[in-house]
Order: sequence, then structure tokens, then C-alpha cells
Amino acid sequence: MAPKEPAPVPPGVQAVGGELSLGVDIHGLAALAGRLYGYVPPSEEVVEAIEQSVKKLVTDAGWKGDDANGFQDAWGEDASDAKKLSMFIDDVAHELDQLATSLSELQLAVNDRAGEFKDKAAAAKDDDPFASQNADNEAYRIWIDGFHQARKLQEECAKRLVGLYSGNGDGWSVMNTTKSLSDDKNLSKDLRDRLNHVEDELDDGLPDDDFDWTGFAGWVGGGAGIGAAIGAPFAGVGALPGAALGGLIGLGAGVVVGGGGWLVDQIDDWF
Amino acid sequence: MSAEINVVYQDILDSSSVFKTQGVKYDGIVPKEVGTVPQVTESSLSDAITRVLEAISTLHDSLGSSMQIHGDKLKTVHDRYRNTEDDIDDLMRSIDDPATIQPRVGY
Repeated sequence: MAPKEPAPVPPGVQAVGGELSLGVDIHGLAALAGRLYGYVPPSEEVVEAIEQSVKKLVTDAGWKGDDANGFQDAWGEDASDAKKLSMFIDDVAHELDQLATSLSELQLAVNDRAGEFKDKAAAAKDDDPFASQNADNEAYRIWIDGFHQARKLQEECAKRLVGLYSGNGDGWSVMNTTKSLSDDKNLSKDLRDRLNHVEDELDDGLPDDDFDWTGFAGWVGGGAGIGAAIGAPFAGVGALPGAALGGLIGLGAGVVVGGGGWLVDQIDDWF
Repeated sequence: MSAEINVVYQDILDSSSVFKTQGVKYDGIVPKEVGTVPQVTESSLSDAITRVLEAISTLHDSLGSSMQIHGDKLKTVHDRYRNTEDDIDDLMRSIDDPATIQPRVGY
């Protein structure tokens, strides 16, 4: 069976870091989704090949008894985990695929709207000496809105990924399977250690019940990074390189409790 | 030895081979490093992708290893059955020729 393909990234979606880029490697997200989709068919083929062999052994050849029963039980658990893991991989790929599509649409909308202002400014430059500056200001506001929306989309995707790996209430989850395999003495110590590490990491990613520390920490930690991202499209503004200008804004915003909405309002006031 | 038992023995051996071969193949489908996380502007997404990729790689390795272990166990079962069958054959041959039966010492 041919693997699924992610939706193609439309032409016109610039590479990360390009003018008006929202700061996300949209092409990279789509490529990652494609890689994950590609793991599913060969995994399913392996499980199917083994299932055929087991069927031949216990049904056609008539292998019976305690050994046969124990073997069937053990393989049955692994087969179930392998099938569920393939479904999980497909779900994760789908989330990243959808995110790349949504961000592409957002990026193109930002490009189009900013482009409209620049076209109007170019047409009016003989009559209005400030046309170009005004167009830049509007393009900046549009970009900031887009940047904020892009972060929301990413945050929602992150929550859905956490929901996928922690389980959706049907009993199976990557977390539970990781834990049970880490107790399997048949596996090597190296694998069991890796499974324990993964279990701890997945647990760390679960949200707390009473306060969104993950979102808070992400915001504070991201201040300098956000600042650089804000500054980058406007490199050369005034006497300061754009990244340095953005870095000052980002560092200042980074210590504030709260989300992107505050930053957007404050920057509107500053500009 | 009956033809039916021979079939079971051979099928156990064949299945052992399938498990080992397919287990190695399964292990190799997902590389240990699935790839770098694409640049994003939301750290919770970067963290979630990192965790998910590591989980996928580790679980694939673990299940692939488990498949190979099933293959090893089937081989062990096959060998044990053959050894038991050989012991029974020896015993039957002894019964057919009483002269070869040795009295137990101490009775």
C-alpha cells in the first residue's frame, strides 16, 4: 500500500526567515508529516506477515498446548501494540499535515494583505510622501496579527499531540504501552532505560490541572526568541538591526505574565 | 515420528525465522533519530514534537526487539520438542530390545 502524502505546501509560502515569514518552517512540518506517514505501510506489512505465520502455525499445523497458548497470548499483546502504534503515528502525521496547511493559508493571507498596502503606497507615492512609511507600518501590524495567530495554531496542535500520546480514553496510549514495555524483563536493559526516559518525558509534557505552567514557561522562555523573530522581517529599521530591535522588545515582554495578546496591544501603543 | 508432528516442528521453525526476520525489518523502519524538529515559534509545540518522535522511535525499537525474542523462544520450543522426541525414540528402542534395558542399581 502506498503511503499517504501530506498536502503540498502552496507556491508562494516563503521559507522560514524570508520577508514577512511567520517564523515557522512550514515546509519542514509538511516534510516531517510525510516521513511519519511513510512509516505506517511497512509496519503494517510486518505485522501482517507475522500474523499469517502464526495463523499457519496454530490453525493449519495445529500446534496446541500450554506453550502454544502462552505464545499466542504474548504475540497477541505485541500485535495489538504494533497496530495501535501505527494508528498513533498516522494521527500525529495528520496533525502536523493539518498544521502545515493552516499555517500556509495564514502565511499567504499575510503576504496578500501586506502586498495590497504596498501596492497602494506605490501608486500614491507621488501624492503622499509618507505613503511608503505608512504601508510599512500597516504591513507590520498585519504581520504581528499573523504571527500571533500562528502561535495559537501551534499551541492548539501541541495540545492535541499531548492528548494523542496520553490516550483518548479507550484504554490504549503511548504512555501506558511505554510503561508496560519498560517492565518487560525480556527486553535489554538499554531499551528498558530508554523506555523509562520516554515515559518520564511524556509525563513532563502533561498539563498541570490548576495552572498552565507549560504555556507560561513557554512564553517567558520564548521572549528573546520572539523578539528576534519580530525584529527579523524589519532588518535595517532605523539605526538598529531588526533582530536587535526585536530582541529588546522580546526581552522586555518575556518577563510579563500573560500571553501574546498583551504583547500585541503594547507594540501597537509603541508604534 | 509421525508426519504430523514433523509438520508442526517445521512450522515452529519456519515461524521462528519469520519472527526474527520481520522483527529486524520492523526495527529498521523508524530510525533512532527521526529528524530535527522543524523551527516553530511556540515552544510547547517544539517540546510535544520532540517527545512524540522519541516515543515513536523507542517503541518501534522495543516492539521489533520483542518480535525477535518471540522468534528465539519459538526456536527454543522447537529444540526442546525435538530433544524430547529423541528421548522418547531412545526409550521406545530400549523397550523393543529388552536386552538393552539395564537393571537399576540399588533396588
